Amino acid sequence: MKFVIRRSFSLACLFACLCMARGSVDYAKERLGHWAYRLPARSPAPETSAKWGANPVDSFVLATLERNGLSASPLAGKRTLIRRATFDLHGLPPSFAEVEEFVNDSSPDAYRRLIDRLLESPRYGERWGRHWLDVARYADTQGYNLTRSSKYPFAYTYRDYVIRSFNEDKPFDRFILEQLAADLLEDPDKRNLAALGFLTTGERFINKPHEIANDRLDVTTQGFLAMTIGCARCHDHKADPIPSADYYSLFGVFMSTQEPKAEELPVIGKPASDEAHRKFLAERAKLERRVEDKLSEVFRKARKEWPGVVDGLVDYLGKNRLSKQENLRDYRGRPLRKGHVIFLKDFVSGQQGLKNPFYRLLHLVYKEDADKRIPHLVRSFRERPDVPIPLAASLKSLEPATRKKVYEAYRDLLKRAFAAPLAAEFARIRSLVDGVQFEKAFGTVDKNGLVERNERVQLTKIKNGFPKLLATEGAPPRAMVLYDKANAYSPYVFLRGKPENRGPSVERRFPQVLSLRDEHRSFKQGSGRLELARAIADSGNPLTARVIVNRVWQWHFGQGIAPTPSEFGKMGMAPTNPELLDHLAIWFVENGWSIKKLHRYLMNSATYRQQSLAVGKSVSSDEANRFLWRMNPRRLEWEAMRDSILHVSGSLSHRDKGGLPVDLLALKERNFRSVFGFLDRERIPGVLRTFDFPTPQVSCEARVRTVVPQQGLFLMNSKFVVESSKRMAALLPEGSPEARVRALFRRAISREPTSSELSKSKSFILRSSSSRQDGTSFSSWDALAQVMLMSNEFLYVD
Amino acid sequence: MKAGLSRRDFLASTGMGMSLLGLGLLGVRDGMANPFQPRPSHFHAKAKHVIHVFCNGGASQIDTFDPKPVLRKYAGKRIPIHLKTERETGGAFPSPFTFKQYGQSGIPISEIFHHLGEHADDLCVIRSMHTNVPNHEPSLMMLNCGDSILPRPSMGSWINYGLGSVNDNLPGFIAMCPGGVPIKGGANWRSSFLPGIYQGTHIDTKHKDLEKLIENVRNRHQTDASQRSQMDLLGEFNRLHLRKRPGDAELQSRIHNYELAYRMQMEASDAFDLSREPESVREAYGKSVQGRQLLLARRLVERGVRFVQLYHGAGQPWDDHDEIEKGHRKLAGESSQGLAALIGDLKQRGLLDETLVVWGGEFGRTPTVELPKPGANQGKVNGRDHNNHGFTMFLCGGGAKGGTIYGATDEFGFAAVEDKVHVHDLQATILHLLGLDHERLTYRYSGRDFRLTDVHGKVVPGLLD
Repeated sequence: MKFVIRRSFSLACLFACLCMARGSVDYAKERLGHWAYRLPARSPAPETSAKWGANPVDSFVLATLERNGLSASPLAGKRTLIRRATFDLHGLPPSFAEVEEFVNDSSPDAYRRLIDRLLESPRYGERWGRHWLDVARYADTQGYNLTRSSKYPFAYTYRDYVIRSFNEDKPFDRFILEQLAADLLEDPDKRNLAALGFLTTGERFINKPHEIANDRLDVTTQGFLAMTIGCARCHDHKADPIPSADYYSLFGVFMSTQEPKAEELPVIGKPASDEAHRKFLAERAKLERRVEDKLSEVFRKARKEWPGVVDGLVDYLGKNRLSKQENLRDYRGRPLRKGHVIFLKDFVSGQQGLKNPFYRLLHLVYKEDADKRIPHLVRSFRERPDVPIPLAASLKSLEPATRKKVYEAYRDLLKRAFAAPLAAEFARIRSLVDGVQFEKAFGTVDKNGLVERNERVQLTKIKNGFPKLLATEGAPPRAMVLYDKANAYSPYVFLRGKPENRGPSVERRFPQVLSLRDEHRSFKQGSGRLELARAIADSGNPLTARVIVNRVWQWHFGQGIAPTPSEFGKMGMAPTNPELLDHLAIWFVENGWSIKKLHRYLMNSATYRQQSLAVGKSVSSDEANRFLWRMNPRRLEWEAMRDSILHVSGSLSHRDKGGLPVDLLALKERNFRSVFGFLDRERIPGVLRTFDFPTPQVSCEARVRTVVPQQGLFLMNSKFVVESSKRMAALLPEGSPEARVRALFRRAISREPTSSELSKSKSFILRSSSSRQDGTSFSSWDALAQVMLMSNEFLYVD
Repeated sequence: MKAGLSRRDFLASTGMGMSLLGLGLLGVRDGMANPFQPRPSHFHAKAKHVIHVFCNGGASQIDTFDPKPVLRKYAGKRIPIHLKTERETGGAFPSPFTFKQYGQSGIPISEIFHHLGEHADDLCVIRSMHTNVPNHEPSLMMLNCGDSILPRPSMGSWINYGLGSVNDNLPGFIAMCPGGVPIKGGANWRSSFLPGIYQGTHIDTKHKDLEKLIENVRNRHQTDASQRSQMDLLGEFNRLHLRKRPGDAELQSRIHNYELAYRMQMEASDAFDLSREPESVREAYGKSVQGRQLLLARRLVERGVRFVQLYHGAGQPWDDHDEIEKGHRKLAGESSQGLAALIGDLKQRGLLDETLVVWGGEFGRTPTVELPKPGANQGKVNGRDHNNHGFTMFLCGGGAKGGTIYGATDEFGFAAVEDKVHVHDLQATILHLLGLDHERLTYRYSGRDFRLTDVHGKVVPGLLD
């Protein structure tokens, strides 16, 4: 069966390819031909034979279950529900008291109120913001970089923006607009500029502009549209109606932007404290002084070098392309500064060169196109009374007839003029070359231009202090914005993805298969970013609402209705319940793109409240639970696990306003949640990878879930867990072993121990207290506390 | 990713049947519910372990085991066969290395791998390998997982699933890579829909210190006896927890995994401690990272690890688009001595019969020179592009036919033409050497039986002893 499907699928691909190769894509037809390109269709909640459910979501789910010969599971008990909902919305466990209160609350709306309470807490945004940061391939560094510091000092302002947006229930269409074009919206709240971090916190590919634009295109199209337009960079998309031209149309949008330097980014808030800010300003002034000192040092050095190199510089007057030559050397093989050469060129070619009796001939030669006029120039020059005598004599005896010969004559003369010991007859030349006039002109030179390679390395080292300083508490937070370039980039198709292989020019516009309105055909305003954002956030776009409701579904249920949440094209997997997906997409837009309303809608469904047990006849026919005949049990992700360990051991602190990123693996007195952790794109710590944290190179649609022994080793032996166990044990009240065991269970897993667990724990304490004479400071209570942190009940949510 | 494992299928597929329904109550150390329990193969076979030396990036066949002197005649000129690869290539680029024939079989080996000469009669050189795409990612996926795009389980996972492990205290599949991970990272050793315990355990062999090789591997806060009693209590709690959630395979696999982690503390200290090897052995392998990796591989195989994979380094070190002479000489120089030492060492210990050594990259390289392209290469015009049309791998030991050259590329070494061996065929053959029928080693997931070779692959009899 499956093979047949596969084969017809590849035939469809082949057909699509052939169509496009002929350049005759019928977009109207394509829009009807694939589920994701059709507008979501409204269908009434289906009739089902069983009576079940709380809202239309359940009717759609049940209808599919019945069609597949499956039946829904019973509703989960209240203890399970509050634990499930709290982890789901906060990524933290409920307290024992909260569980008890909920269990004892017999009012019919207790569950609904629970969801409302959870959604009101700032903990919600910290949990759900992190989900979005997976999609946004968020990290605090640029990725591989040769010499410069690769840290983004202000990436955190994007992270905080995302958390705040979820907490404020920012309508998702607005969330889209801000992340792509906040700078182009009229918004008095400057904090929202940080939204542009969606584009700017990606990798920088050692500053290759094409790769940067590609990364931004990719995260935008996969993140919001679940389209893999990136595939069309080298050729028309193999499966979807996305010609290469569509790629370059969007490429043009992202190539038309530029970013200010970190220290010029807009300030969007106040530093953490005035005192810290004062310290920051003082440090910055110190750094600026160090840069200035270094530049002055270079300048003084360059000034001192001048008489010794000026002869060699003359040769370079005749050479045009300096920028390509890395290591300039003179005829003696000595290194030259590019800055010196440029200065001499400017000096000679300008008015000062004309007026200077020594340089005048060089000026004329420099400006002269025809070589044949050189002898004439030389002759009339040397007759002038103000020409220094050795120069006139030398020109007379050599009679240089070409430009090159003139330069050689000067070179030789200068060499002699500055040769030690200084000869008196060259005094005038020396004063014309190295005297007052030179001093004045050289004083105005751009010092940065004089810096040579070794000095640049030293200077960069000092300058690296600025981003470091910007990443301190005293620096005001800034938004990682980008702006449109004054002149938008006009894209061409790069044939087979090669920039040197220019194909036809294309307009900056929206992908053709999605172009339902006239304004999609050609973006007119600047880069077209705002128009692009509007086209994505358009309720008439068949993909956008479907994509986000599917992601939210996945984050609630562990798998999407469409199982490939960032690939809705033909290479992706079809939704298991297309009517439900359409229903939710329409419902979502009609409810103001509100994510929190969507949470309420989904979490109040009976589908969400089912048991998670894998029992009954459905196991055999739908083991992967594609049709949701039960709730999927979930394992805590890295963040939820770390946060929960900190929470139950009394070491977790909250920071509602966010702030600078923190080290996740150092256990301090007080610790912030994992969403605030520093993420180096290149070096995600092994422990995070062990717990399936996605590498932020590309947008992550879903985390994988592995079970490997290193996870066990972390929980068994890491300092983080061992110390946390001790802290948790230290929080237990004095009293009988039974009372203490009860307190431990309540704290760790929010319930009383069963009698069997109680007796096992007590005998463990008794047994090991006597045997545990190992001279370590790890008591049997510490060991028992650690058992709780390692237990499957702590790490899995039913 | 869902661990889409049904316990019923799991038990059935591991040959344990339905008698273990009360499995939540059975201790892992009872040796019954252990998914790593050794399982009979489909038929008798010699090989029990695999050491896969992965030249990630793509080693050039023309510069290693497939000499093409005719290229010299065409040097710099277009050759009659010109196939499309990832990038533009130009005229013929003869190998800068000399070849010599070794052993009774007279297998020609490039100077850069001359150490292997002494084992020529044990090598089974396949000169007619080919794969589908000239790009790293899909080709890595194809060689490791049997599909270039879809997220399928890796060969090491399949083999552990098929045969179990003969050592409960170490992972059955270890992937070593110094300094980081190859392109595609963990996808190269993923278990995908197979149970997570079959996933490869990645170890960064740049480090020598055990705790850096495997983080947190040492228990420093309590005695072993105390930790043992702690783990026993944890096991009891977890089994009580599982009893209320029958059929949850992941919970079960976590219980097992804790035990594995516990035992790894001891066993890994021993297995990864190279100072326990005599100086002469360490000397023979060479003290480079590659030498260390190869010696570790032997120690692991000796202890029953089923599948050991060694990547040359992070990223794609063999990817010499430029300076192939310098690059390949250096890369081969790093591994040639260790490889030869490994084969000799295995032979001496009587392990070569049951250990299959596999050498090669995800594809080969072109016999033509890569043309300059801004941003892609350094434009030095002295390297080779990727080549999926034809490349060389070799097998050694484990029932592979030694002293053999199998198949051939065209006269220029561009494409496999004679007795072509697709990656799927190689996979079928590797499984065969381990006593597994690639068409019967299946796993039911989402309503379909999956296998490593998808719907392709044929065992190649000419590679079998």
